[in-house]
Amino acid sequence: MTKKIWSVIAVAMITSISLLAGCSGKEEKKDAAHEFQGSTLSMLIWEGYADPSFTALFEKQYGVKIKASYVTSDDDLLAKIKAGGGDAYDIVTPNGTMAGFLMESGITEPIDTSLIPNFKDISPRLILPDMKKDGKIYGVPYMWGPNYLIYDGDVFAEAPKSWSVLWDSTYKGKVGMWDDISNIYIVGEMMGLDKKDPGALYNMTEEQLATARKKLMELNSSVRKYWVSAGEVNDLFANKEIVISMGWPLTIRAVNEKGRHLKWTIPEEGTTGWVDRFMIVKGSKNQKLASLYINFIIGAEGQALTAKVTNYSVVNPKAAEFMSPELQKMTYVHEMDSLFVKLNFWQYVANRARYNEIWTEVKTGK
Amino acid sequence: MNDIMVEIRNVSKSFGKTSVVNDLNLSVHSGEFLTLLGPSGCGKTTLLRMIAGFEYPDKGDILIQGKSILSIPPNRREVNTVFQSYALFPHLTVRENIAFGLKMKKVPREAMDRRVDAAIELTQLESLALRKPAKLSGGQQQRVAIARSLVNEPKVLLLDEPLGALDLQLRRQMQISLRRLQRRLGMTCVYVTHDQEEAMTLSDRIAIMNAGRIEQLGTPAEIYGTPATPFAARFLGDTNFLSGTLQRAADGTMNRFITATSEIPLPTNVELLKEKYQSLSIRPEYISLHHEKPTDFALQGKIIEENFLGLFSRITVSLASGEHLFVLIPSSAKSPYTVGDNIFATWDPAQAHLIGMDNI
Amino acid sequence: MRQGNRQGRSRFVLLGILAPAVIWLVLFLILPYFNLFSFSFWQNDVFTVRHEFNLLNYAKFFTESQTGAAPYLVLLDTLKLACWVTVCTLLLSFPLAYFIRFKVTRYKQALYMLVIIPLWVSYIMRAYSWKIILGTNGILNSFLLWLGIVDTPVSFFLYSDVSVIIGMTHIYTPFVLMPVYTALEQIPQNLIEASNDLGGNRLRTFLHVVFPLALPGIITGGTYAFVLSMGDFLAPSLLGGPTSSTKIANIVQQQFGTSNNWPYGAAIGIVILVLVLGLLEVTGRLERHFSKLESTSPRTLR
Repeated sequence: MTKKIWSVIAVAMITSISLLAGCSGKEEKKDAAHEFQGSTLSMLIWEGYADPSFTALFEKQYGVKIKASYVTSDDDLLAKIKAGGGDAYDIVTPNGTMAGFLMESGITEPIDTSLIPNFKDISPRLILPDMKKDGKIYGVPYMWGPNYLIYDGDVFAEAPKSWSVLWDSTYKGKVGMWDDISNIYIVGEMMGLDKKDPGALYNMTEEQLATARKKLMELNSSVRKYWVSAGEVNDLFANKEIVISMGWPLTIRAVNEKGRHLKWTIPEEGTTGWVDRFMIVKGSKNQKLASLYINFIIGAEGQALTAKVTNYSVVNPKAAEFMSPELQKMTYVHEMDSLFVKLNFWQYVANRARYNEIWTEVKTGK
Repeated sequence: MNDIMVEIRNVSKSFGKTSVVNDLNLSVHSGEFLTLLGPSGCGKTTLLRMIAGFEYPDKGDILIQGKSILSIPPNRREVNTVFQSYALFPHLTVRENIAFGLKMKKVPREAMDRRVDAAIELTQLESLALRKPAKLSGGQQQRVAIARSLVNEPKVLLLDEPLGALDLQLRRQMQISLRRLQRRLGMTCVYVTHDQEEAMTLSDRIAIMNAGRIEQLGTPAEIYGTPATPFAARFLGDTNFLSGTLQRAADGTMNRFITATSEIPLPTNVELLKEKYQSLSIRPEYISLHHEKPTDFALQGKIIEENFLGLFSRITVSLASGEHLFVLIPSSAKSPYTVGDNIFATWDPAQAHLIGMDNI
Repeated sequence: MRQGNRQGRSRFVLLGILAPAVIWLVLFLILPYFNLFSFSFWQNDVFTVRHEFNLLNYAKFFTESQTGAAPYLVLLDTLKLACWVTVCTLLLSFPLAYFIRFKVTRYKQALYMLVIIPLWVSYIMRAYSWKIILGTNGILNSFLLWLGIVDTPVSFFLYSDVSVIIGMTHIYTPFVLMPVYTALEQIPQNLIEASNDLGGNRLRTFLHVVFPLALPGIITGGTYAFVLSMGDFLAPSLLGGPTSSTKIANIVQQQFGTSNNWPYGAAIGIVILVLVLGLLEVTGRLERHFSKLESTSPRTLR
């Protein structure tokens, strides 16, 4: 009986795949296909950004191969680009933490947006200062998201209004935070440093840093665990070790699937956010193919497919028509502008070493 | 001298299905040097370990000066053991090793020092007192092991093949000094060995053990002269066995031993034995060889081998019955015998012994 | 002449035999250490390393930062943790080894294996199992609540120094058990019988014979536990709390990762290396001083 069902499913899948392949307009792409036949596009990206559900479409269309290498952190990304360069990777997808630095230090090339017709569809507020230099575009936004304040709906009757809830002694020992220098940004926002200049969070003075350090040291006694991975924060919520933490939508979905009621909010002080963007590594021999891929994936359909895999928000509002109502809601595709007001996108921190030092001092309680 | 120090009553011990000591009885006199002699696996070491307290008998009782010691743990028994491989404490000096027992018994410092000094002097270890055992020769380690036991003035000293690891020359030397020491101190010793020569040199009495039983108990001379069983005869010295039957004489005594080819007179004091088939044991050194037939009885045979052994020569005679007879004669520059000689063997009937065949 | 020739040839053969080992040593031990050593005297630049000799990395490690904290304090913290782990592993493995050696007659090997088996279980898995046991709603807390010993879950079981020590003790106990068990196993049974025979009861036999003879194994095991727990960055980061998840190894790892400051990381590495080498020298001497068991065989006759 089950065997029968499986064979029906298999047949259905095979037919649908062949139908999909047949649909993707063979005629007009014939030249391009000929041009890149047999090439390999190398990408250095975050997990989830090379899912076969969309890369396969591109590979088939152009007769090319996509080779993905993954990074686990901003520093990992920097180290790998340093080691490999344009010979190893064509495309990288850093967020604001490293992107500005990569652009300034000449590791990446300007991108010819004329080869990327879909670029005009990107929400203009996502074209950030650290993507442009001398009137040239260095970064093309791919996906983005806010850093939420996630809380347990069973514990909080209403959404906390301020980040200061983390210091509230009611939740002592029930707070989770990311093990990252971004906690310094949060304190910066609470101090109101980014009221005038969003960049102020990433260029704090020694005095401001000392204040942030003191504030974070006070937080230590409330914190249950500084988590290092999404999996870890999911477990912390699921096991009721914590009731509140900075976090991402993925956590809400994963934990609520287990019957819990996590909710998210953006406090009055605002929050930080991230934008992953495509950059082309200097010395890449596949710049034209890279542009074609970028165009493909920031297109409405590419965006929708990526969102489906990652649950991140899309940069191209047109993607909504390819998304389920549920996914549309989850990724706030219709509320982008109202969200942007509250967001301060991560930027490169010139004095990263000092930020790291401060964070280490907080964690060692010294 | 004759009061009993150690008494072993109907003791049995098995390990799993193997019976090691089998309903054994033995008394050790006070001041006596008694040796348990037997092949490996005969139960002699197990018996010793039961006296020391390391093994517990399945049945029977062990008494010291008439009191059962079975309920006393080894650390409170007034016996001490000299172990086969000495079991010296490698982390302690010679002096500390010797003092160990007194320290355990919390003997006051002064008395302890005095007794340890005495034991060191007795075993001539003065110059080695501060060394660790690893820096000593085998003989020196042996002396430390003995001193370590003696210093406690045990009622019984148990020695488990204590000389087994030494070379022959050193072993002989140690045997003599051990025996001298024991006599001087009048100590009761139970000694385990499988070396017959050692047993004879040291012992007041020997208990020949086989398969968990005592085959024969007696002075070395008794056992050598009148072995009770073929096993005892063979284990203590070499011997010849002749098989045959007893014949009743006209006066009613059994005084002739009939083999296939000859009739041999027996000692007059031989007991009446029920067994029809017997073995006659005669030690090789008691046999004399003659080229001419002697007037007395004689077994005829042919010399098939002669081995020079130093003080003695061993001559192998093939008898008419097919049995071989080993003969020991004092060696001389020119042997009176050559291989192939026809020869007559004879002996003083009083030197031969009948042994029941059922004991083989 | 001829002999010299032969000697030359045998030297050549010897070289051939030793060459792979020497190459391996140079490639995987000496060169990396040399590399680490030279890096520790250089300075970090954003994308490269400036190759000019200076002691700034060491100075940084041993002096206070602008905010008043000296990084070397973390090293002291780590040493304290390592001491705790050493004591706990020894307290756990010595009785266990003693039990297996002296009290178990059947299934001795099986029991020993049972203790060693966790070595084959993934490290992460063992750390996670402790989260399940020690968590706020974990097995231990549920048990204590059920017994009525506590009325609210105890939070310091997990994400604290306590859980780091428990986790490391679990992970490093087999490493300690092995040398301790081996040392106990090598004590001849007849030494214990001799002590009994000479009037030593169980306690005194233990104090005067068993313990002194097991000391070399205890020292070896303790050294393992100390050095391994000092270099462990996984257990603190998985089981440690807000201020107990960053030990010296985490700081080093950070320098080669997030902070991307290899020269500083190398300098801390060298400090740790010197510390460990010093420790090994001391424990090695102690061990030699206490190990007396070799060459006491009765057959050492001249």
